[in-house]
Amino acid sequence: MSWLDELELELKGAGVPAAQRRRIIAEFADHLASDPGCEERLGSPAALAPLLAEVHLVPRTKRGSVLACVVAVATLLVCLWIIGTYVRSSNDWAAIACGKACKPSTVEHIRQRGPWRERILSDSLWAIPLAVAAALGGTAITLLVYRPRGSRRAAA
Amino acid sequence: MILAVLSERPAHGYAVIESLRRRSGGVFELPEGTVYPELHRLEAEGLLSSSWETTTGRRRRVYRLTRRGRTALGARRSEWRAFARAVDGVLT
Repeated sequence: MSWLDELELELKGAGVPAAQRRRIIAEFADHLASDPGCEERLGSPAALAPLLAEVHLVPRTKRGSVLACVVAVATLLVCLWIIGTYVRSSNDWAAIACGKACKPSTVEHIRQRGPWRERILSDSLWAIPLAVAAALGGTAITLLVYRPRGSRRAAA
Repeated sequence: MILAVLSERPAHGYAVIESLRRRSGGVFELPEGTVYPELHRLEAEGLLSSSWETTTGRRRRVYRLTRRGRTALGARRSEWRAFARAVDGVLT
C-alpha cells in the first residue's frame, strides 16, 4: 500500500469528508511528485490524519450543532401547534402558548379556570400523546443530525 | 512563519516548505507533512485563501495571504520583536 493510500484510509477512519479527502490527497500527491521519495520527511499518515481531521471536522460539527438547534426549535413549535389545535376550541391557553395576543378580559377568563392540564385532558385525550410523539420524533432526528466532535473517530 | 513566507508571493505547499527551510538556513527541519494542516487551519481562520492552479501541466493548490492575514502577520511580528528584545535584554 502506498503512502497516499495509507493517508486516505487514515483520513477516512478519522471521519474527514470525501471532498476534503480528495483535496488533501491531491495536495500530497503534488508534493510527492515535486520531491519523489520524500514520504519519510512528510511523516506517518497515522500521525498526520488526526491533525488534518482537527481542522476539517470543526465546520461539520458547527453545522451539526446549528441543525440540531433548528430541529429542536421546530419540534417545540410543532408540539405547541398540536396542543393548540386540540384545545383552541374551548379555551385560550393554546393562544397564549403560541404567542398570540390576548385581550385583558380573556386573560381574566383563563385565570378563573383550573390548571391547564385538566383543561387539555377534558378537551381531548389525544393532545398530549401527539405532542409527546412529535417531541420524540424531533429528538430522534436531532440525535441523527448531531455528531459531537470526535465521535466518528472514536467509532472508527 | 507561514504567513511571512506567503506575504512575499502566493505559493503551493511544497514551495512554502522549501522557503521555510531556505530562509531558516536549514534550522527548521519540520516533519514536512505538518505544514499542510497548518495551511488548512490558517485558511479556515480566514488568514489565507487558496485555489487550484495549473502550472507546467500540474494541478496545484496555491495559497495567498488575505487582508486579515496581512494584519495578523503585522501583529505577530510586533509581538515577536517585543519578546525577542525582552529575552535579549535578559541574556546580555
